[in-house]
Amino acid sequence: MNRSEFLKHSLTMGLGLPFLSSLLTACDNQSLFGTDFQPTFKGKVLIIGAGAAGITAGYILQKHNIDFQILEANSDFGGRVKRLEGLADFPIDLGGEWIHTDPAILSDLIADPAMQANIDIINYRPKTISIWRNNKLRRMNFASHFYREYKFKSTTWYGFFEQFMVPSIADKMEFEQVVTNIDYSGDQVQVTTAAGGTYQADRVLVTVPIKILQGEMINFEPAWPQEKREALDTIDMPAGLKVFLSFSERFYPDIVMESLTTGTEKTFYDAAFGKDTNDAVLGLFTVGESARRYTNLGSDEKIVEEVLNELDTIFDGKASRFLQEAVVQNWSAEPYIQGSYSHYGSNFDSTMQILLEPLANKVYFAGEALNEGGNTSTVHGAAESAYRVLDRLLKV
Amino acid sequence: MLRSRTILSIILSLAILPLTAQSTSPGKSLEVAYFGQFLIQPGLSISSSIDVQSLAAPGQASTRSLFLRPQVGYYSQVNSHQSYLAALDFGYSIQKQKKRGWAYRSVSLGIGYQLKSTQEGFSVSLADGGRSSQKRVNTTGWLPTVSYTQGIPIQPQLSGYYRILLCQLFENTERSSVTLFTEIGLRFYLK
Repeated sequence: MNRSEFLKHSLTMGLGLPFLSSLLTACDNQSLFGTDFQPTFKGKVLIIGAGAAGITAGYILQKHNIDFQILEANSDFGGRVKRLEGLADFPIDLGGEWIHTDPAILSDLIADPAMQANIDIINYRPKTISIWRNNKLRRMNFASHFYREYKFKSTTWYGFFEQFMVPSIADKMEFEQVVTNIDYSGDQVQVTTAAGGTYQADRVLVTVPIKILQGEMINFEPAWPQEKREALDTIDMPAGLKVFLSFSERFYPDIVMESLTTGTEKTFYDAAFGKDTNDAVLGLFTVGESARRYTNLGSDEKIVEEVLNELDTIFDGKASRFLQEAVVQNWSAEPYIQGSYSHYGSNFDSTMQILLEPLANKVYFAGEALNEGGNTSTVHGAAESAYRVLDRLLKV
Repeated sequence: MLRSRTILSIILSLAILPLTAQSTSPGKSLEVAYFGQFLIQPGLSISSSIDVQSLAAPGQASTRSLFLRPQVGYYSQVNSHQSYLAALDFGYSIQKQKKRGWAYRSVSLGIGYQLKSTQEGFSVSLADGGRSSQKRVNTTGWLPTVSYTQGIPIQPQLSGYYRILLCQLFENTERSSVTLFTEIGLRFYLK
């Protein structure tokens, strides 16, 4: 069973991962981070999407003096890596938050031995864990003995990319460029945006979320082979939601889950855990059906109201009493994201191989959902996918 | 650090003194074991089992006794924590002489005290991924235990054994948690 199958068949995504992180890390295939590509390719690469994979791809190409450009549909880089400032005296990850592997991966990702910088890491081991079930809050602190994860202490995933990768490629990024068509029928690939702009390149690297491809928001000429289209449709990218609430007092344990075993798609957690702060910030992380229940409410105000009602039930009205501010990040409502992260079916390896197969050796694919090493559903996995695909692309 | 070394020294003394002081008394043994939280967080345990009262009845093939067991232990999780504990158990044991030595079973209740040094954070170098500036926090807690031991004979003066210890760790009211230790080791009979 590969890692993605393991994730699929095991209980938890997102916050549930920490229970299994040590095992998952052991499942990692050999990383390609830091590969010396020795490229034979000399043309121009157009990168669609400035999320973790797109930024990393640009960073690698810049280091190898390959001509490239990044087109991003949103007004900022990051994709599902996003930062919230102002709710507390520390930055908050609105998207990818945990480092689901050894933090040394950050060094691998930069792949620059001359980089003289350190990043403070929280050894994330929550001590107080409770389960909310049958209208009772049950202490399950024994689970803390299995919990192992890492987080940034004073920065975020967004801050990491912003500080260490984006500066070298900032002038190559164009924002609010919504790609609608990729024509790879000629010698060069022609890319068209919703605003009517056209771009030409020798290779195109598509790093947009899988949901965008499934929804055919980008048209390909010629159309995708049927096998590729069918493989794409087997991947699920369910609804995803994060809510952060600041309180005047802390009244909650480090983690409140609905279950330690199956169906843990919803978790309340102390977002200030391990940070240098006295601020009380509680996060809600949820994906799948549980998230859809919130996103179907229709507005952020209703979502906050629902979350507060739940917290008041669990904590005897303390949530409403101590609430200061709430922020909702509805990933399903982001027009160029439309969900959380990929969940594979049972045929991970074959599906992955089909999806990673480039179109006419001109259009390549990378991103959170497209890491053949198995590190899907993670930020570092998205970045690693760029290394993996460029290892092929630059040797064509 | 000084505090932890002092506590460890006291704990070791408490565990070893009974052995040296009573090395000629019957029903005494030294146990050395792999000691792991949930079996997978590895460590080492040294304990001494001292019979304080024989409950053997005439005609019985087995020996029954009440015993005291002082114990010191260490266990860790790489890049996470190092923990030291001392415990004193009081229990009931049934021992049976076999061809190769003693087979036995025992149950006991005990109380322990744990010092845990947890790595709460660190800095990672972007140059080489190395860790530095590790921030460690020491916590202590009481550890009531209930344990079961099964011993198998190896030689007349040596048994192998495994022990399961179910504990409630009281770091404080909020952070109390159930935990499980497993010992797999050797018992050396000192008589």
